[in-house]
Amino acid sequence: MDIKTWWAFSNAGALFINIFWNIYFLFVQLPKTEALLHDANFIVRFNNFFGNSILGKHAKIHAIAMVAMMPKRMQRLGEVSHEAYLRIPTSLKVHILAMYFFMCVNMLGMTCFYFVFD
Amino acid sequence: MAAPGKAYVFINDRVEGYNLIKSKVNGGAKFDKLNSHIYNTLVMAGQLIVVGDEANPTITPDEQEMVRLAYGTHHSLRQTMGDLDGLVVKNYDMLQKILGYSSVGIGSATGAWENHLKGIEKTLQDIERLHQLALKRGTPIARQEFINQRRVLFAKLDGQLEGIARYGTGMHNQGSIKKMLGISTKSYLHTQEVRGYTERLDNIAKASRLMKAGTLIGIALNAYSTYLEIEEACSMGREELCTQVKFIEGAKLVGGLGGGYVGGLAGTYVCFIVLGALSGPGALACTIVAAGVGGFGGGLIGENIMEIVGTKLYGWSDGNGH
Repeated sequence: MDIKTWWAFSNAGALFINIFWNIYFLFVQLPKTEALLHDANFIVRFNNFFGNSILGKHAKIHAIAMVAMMPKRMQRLGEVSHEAYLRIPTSLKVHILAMYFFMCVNMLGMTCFYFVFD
Repeated sequence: MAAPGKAYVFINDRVEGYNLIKSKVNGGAKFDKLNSHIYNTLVMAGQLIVVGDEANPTITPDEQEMVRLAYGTHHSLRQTMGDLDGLVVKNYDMLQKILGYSSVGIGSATGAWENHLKGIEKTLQDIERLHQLALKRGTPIARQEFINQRRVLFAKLDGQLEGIARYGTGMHNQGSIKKMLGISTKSYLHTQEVRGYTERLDNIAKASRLMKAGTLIGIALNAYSTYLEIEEACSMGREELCTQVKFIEGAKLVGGLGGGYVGGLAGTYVCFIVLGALSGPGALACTIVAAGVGGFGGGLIGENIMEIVGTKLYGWSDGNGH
């Protein structure tokens, strides 16, 4: 197989892993994280705004990822308290960071594929 | 590649994609050169298609004459079509992609807009209820209470309709909210209804429904176009081509939708990072735009990637893969 095909296969594989990982987090890990951050402003606001829709779940994951990535900024914005942040287990933070890192790498890989081979 | 032979021309008898016609006649690089005026477009019925001798890379005088005729026909057909139709046909592929992939991303983002519109609908209903109550009571104290409560609801509605958040409500910048809603106490007492109120609610409900359908329309468009491609390939009685198209088009569909989903997700996340947190109309607008752009980009690239994967998988299933 040439490099283009290898790249296409690895990107496609990563894309599917990404989708299933996201769905798993959406339905398994999110409720647990939400319970831990029940008093965070964004959880209350998104629950009111989006209800329990898929988009609402995604919005909450995005915001939780921001808490894991930039806790100080989110605390400064008043979105989450320091105590609430400390309640998130390290393993969960690592899980979220890994998922988002993987998504960014996947998107970057796909974009490079498009510009290099097209 | 086409077998070596004499060049010929035929009339396309139905609307179909350029690539499909090319694969039907086993066209190669020379086919693209001879039919450059219809390259990668949706070819209309009545167009002349030139099939050259692929064994001879240079264009012969006979072929040149055929191209001249085909170009003339193409020109006449274009003139007989309306401008808009021509634009749609010329950019069919692009339009289909935009509709297909972007709507996957936008459809999910507009779920938020739908909730926003429902919020406006609720405020409008509260205003209507307040007017009805005030009319029943009618005392001066009740009137003052009514004015105060209405002021609160108007302030709420004003916030909900700030800037870009007006879109989809059918309420444009016409000055005060009272004027916009067609409300004045006098007119209300006279007609017993908020003028244009039902119309506003209808507009909002319609916009909500359309937005909700965004994702479904995108998926349906992509799936239907895949189905058409497969059906066309399979109706020609060539089993090999039929299987090949099933593999490639099926993979492209999966890649397009999957890429659209992840692209939309990544796009909305960019908005979160840039704007801090999702709140206010600006963030909502950013989310919708980013989801659309991300969904489109992801879908387009996902389709390209899965086309290669599908081709390879077909090769393996056929025993020709390496």
